[in-house]
Amino acid sequence: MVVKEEMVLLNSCSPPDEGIRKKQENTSAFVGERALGKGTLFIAESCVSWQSSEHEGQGFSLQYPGISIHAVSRDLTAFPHECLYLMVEGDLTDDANREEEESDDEDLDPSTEMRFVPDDKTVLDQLYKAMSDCQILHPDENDSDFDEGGFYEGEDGLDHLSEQGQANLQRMENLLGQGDGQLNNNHAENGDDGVIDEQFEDADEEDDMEQ
Amino acid sequence: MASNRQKFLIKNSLISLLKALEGKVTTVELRNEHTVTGTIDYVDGFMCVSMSNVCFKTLSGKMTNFEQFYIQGPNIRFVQIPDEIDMKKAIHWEVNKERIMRQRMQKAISDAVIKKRQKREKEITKKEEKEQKMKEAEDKKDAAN
Repeated sequence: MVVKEEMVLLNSCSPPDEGIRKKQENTSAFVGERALGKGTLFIAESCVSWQSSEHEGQGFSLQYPGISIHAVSRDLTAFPHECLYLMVEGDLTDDANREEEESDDEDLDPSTEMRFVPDDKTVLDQLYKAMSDCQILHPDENDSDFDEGGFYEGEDGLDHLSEQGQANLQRMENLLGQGDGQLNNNHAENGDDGVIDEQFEDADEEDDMEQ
Repeated sequence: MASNRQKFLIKNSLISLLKALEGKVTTVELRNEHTVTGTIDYVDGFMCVSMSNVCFKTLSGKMTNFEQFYIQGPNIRFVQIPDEIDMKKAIHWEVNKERIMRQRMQKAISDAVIKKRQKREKEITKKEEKEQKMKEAEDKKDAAN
């Protein structure tokens, strides 16, 4: 595993200034069991960042590839607040605060639990959605299993078409009733110039009437 | 809607099998030995999995429930495939579904065209029979006169 960018707890750091998908004020942050107080959570396209409102200019920022899990928890038996839960690669807590279960398993990749508790609990789903949308912008670039040459290209090898090309093709296919040229020719021979789809409906209706 | 690159990745890997699990309840085992049991909502081309109504169990046995749960693809070690899934069929469907759907649609259309043509032929035969009968009736009339 590639070592992710070092993530250090509470540094002087400035909030992201672009690509912000969600900004949530009055959000408490917890790292492991440790409360960091209130602050503002920024979910940006480049990173997730939290800025303390109690210590000006202090905060931290997380890179998406380092965030293994994000989730919404409303289970108050596990944690006393409904929260946005993150599991982050690496041990971000001080040694003194390290959770026992993690120090027991030395051969495991260390990870840190983080929780964000917004005062407004109704936004939790939006925060989750924003995280999911941003996470997808950061696929694992180290995954080199795929050499794109020589693989199945999807049906009819259409995957090389641009989005616009695919859209055009789709539209044309819809117009032609799934684009069967052969059928269209038969159709023309019959001297029937209706659209295939209409004829299709038509035929069923007439059959029903007949029976 | 998955991008073309994602579609490519799905069709060219066992992610095509994971797609069959969408909507199913199963257990995902993570690289750090934790397990996640719940409903799989969506799997993307990078094997990131969105789940809901999840029970997350750490190695030490601590359990937590989550309403929504998102796992990064590289973090997954195993996904348990429920017995009810026919893996071969599931992969075949995922890889070829566009073509299968198109074939079904074309078959429906060609069936309809054939039906319509048969119906038209029937009508023509009926008409001819009718004309034939009328002609015979007229012939009889003429003969009677």
